[in-house]
Amino acid sequence: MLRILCCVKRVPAPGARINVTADGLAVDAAHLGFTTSPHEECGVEEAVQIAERCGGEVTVLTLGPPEAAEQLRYAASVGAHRGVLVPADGGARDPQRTAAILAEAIRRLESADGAGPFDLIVFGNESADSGGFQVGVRTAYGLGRPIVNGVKGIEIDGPAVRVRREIDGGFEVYEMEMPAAVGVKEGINLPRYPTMKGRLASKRLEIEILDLDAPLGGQTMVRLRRPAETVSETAILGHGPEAAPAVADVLESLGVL
Amino acid sequence: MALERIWVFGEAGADGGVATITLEILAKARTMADSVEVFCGSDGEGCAATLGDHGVTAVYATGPLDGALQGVSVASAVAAAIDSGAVAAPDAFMLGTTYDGRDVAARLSVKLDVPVLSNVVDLRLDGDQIAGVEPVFGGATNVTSRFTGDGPGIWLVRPKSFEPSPTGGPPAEVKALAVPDVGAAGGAVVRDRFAEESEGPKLDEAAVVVSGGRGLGGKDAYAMIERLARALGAAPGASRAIVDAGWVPYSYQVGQTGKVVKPTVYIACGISGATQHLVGMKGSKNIIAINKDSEAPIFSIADLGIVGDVHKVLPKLIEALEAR
Repeated sequence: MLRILCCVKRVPAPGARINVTADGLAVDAAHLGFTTSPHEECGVEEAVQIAERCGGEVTVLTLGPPEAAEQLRYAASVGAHRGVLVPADGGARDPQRTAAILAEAIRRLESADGAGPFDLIVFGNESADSGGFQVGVRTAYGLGRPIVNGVKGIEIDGPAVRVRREIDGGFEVYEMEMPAAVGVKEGINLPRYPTMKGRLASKRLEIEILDLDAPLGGQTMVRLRRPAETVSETAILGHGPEAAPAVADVLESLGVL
Repeated sequence: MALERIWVFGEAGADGGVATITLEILAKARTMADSVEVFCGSDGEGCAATLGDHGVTAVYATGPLDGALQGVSVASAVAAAIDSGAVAAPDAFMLGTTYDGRDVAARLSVKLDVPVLSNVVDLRLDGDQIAGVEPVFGGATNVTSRFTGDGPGIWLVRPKSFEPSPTGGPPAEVKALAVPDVGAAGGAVVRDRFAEESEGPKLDEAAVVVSGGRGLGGKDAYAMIERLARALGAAPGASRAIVDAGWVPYSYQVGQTGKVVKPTVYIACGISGATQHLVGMKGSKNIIAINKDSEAPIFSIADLGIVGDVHKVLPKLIEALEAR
């Protein structure tokens, strides 16, 4: 039976209007929706699909505030079996610390039940808020496992895993012996919607809490600032199909025809 | 006060020459440091002339890497060269936010144990420190960051943040960068490589992009976008909504988690303008929006707009363009 671990991050809902706190160092969460980072949503789906295909168990791990339990329940509602929360305040923009804590958490989970290493650790390629591309690679190096990033396809082949890595204008196929890690990209699959049965299962999920601490990394934030909203004047060329010739004229004057 | 030395990651472009992103970063790095050098996971001789022409004095090259992941080999080679004292550490590393750039940066960060700031769209010197500006939360907020620790920081720069500007300098001096034993990280071996067949211009290089969104109403209506794109020699694009709906592949997606485009003309058809999408196209020189809802957010950034149903406007527009 394959043991798959998927790491997820609770992030502000992409596209939401985000306000900065008065001291300019954090996001004002008072009126904000949160979600699982999109690449990781695909990571959970991929882990569940692999488990369904090859037989296996999916554990989802997150680092964050108590509310991040919501993201674990979401994962359970689409098929994950276990949810582990490592309580952590702040540090959201410190990938060195995040990776150190994750690596330690994974070591504990692997030694706790004597089951040995997770065969495959699935990360999202990057998070939707800070987009650091760091945590997966750092955690994998910390655990001494190979990792391929930018993954758009995963195939389990006996003790090996074959992954399709997106490159400019094509794909490369890499093979790794498990245990191994991958950073998956949005587009690898279409995440399913939770079923009613899934929602009920997620309510019953017992969130496992793992308390850890790890040293700070070397990155600090100077300040957060909302960019000036650029509102341009839109010249309305017209209404409905009658406006088509005017658009053609514009395209011609711009020299793109 | 300028820095002494910046290292820029050299990437190969689709034509085998030096990638545009590398030239863009070189143009900016040159304004910040006395000397700019390149490190790369390929053959240095082939790119020395182009790099020199963009102000590079030396290129540290590993030579061809065969089946290894470029990020694994290059990061280990750079770390080994610096750790052994063979090469002095630069004041900063700069790489493009590209498939390979991100992978090299992440692994370099681990090997040298220095942090990375990613997705930077602007850089400036603050005294003798570099400060970088990075949009976060899908472009809804800007963060200004700098490194506080010792040692060089690693900066990942978004494509199209700067303009390349040749200096007409002499060819860069080629120096060898030896790849050491890479340990467990070397466990990933390439088995196959294949190129994706695509017609017409590439989405992130096209002068004109025509994108469709949920307003198209269904998968079949996307054919109108493709036809309009053909009439204009444009690349077809899409909003995340219709990629999620499975109407077009992910490679068409323009936006935060898709491609960032800056064409001369961007035509948004039936796209309401979620922040996730706007981030990927707001740098376009001319934005034309067609949407039946005059209150749609896309009209807040469009230069020109048509208020109307895409199903009625697009056939007329295609007809008008094909007639010219």
